[in-house]
Amino acid sequence: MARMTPAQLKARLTKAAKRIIQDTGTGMEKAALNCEATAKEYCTPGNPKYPKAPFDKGLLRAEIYHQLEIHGNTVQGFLISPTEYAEPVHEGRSGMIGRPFLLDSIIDNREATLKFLAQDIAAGLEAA
Amino acid sequence: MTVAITGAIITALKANTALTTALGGQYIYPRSREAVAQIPGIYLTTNTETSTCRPGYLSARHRDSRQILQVDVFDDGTALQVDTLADLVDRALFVATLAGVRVEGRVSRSEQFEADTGRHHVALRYALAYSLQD
Repeated sequence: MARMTPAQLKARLTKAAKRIIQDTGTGMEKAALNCEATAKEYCTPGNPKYPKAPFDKGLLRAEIYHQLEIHGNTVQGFLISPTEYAEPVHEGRSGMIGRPFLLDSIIDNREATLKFLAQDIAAGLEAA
Repeated sequence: MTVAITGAIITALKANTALTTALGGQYIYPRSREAVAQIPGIYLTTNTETSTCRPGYLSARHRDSRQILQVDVFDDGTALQVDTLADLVDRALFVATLAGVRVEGRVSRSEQFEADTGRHHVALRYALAYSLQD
């Protein structure tokens, strides 16, 4: 059994906490990239997700990207579609039903996202 | 989502007098892919459904499902009017008693103005959970 003084334990836990945040970031990066790939698949002609995939010349699909932000103990992954007409496509209009390619990719990848996060957090805990 | 669940949600919304009064009638419908939305109107669309089979599914056929329900609120009045309608939908859904269906929370809310048609649109999305027997 390892014996530690309170100061040693505190130092070790502080180091572990930093490591876990970093590893959660690594997992989130993978998860967000995975969601980005799925969202792009949903915007590809022939994909069965929607009766008609949101694709004309491919600009909407090409501009989808992900971003990772770490502020203190908060790790956030963002899936972004900056194209001008992305919002009406995603949310729908009075004459067109919405095709929520971002939201659907996040929901459909729920299990995969948890797996990515769990793997990297577990690796961080083992190394700490 | 089964037709029965969508129907129950529409019935619950139509039963909310505050909502129907603000709307000017019971203009609450399931969204049809082809039809243009009527104004004012509230339209329900279901998005992704995910299901998990319970242990013993082969004999009991029970499955727990999650679904994203999109509620589109359209009006050609002011942004405030359509906002009020969306708030009323929020309240109506959270106080409604839907047998076997749990409204877990609102996932998103976005507001848009269709400049070409002069229509305001609020898109609300809710996470629902329910059990089905196949």
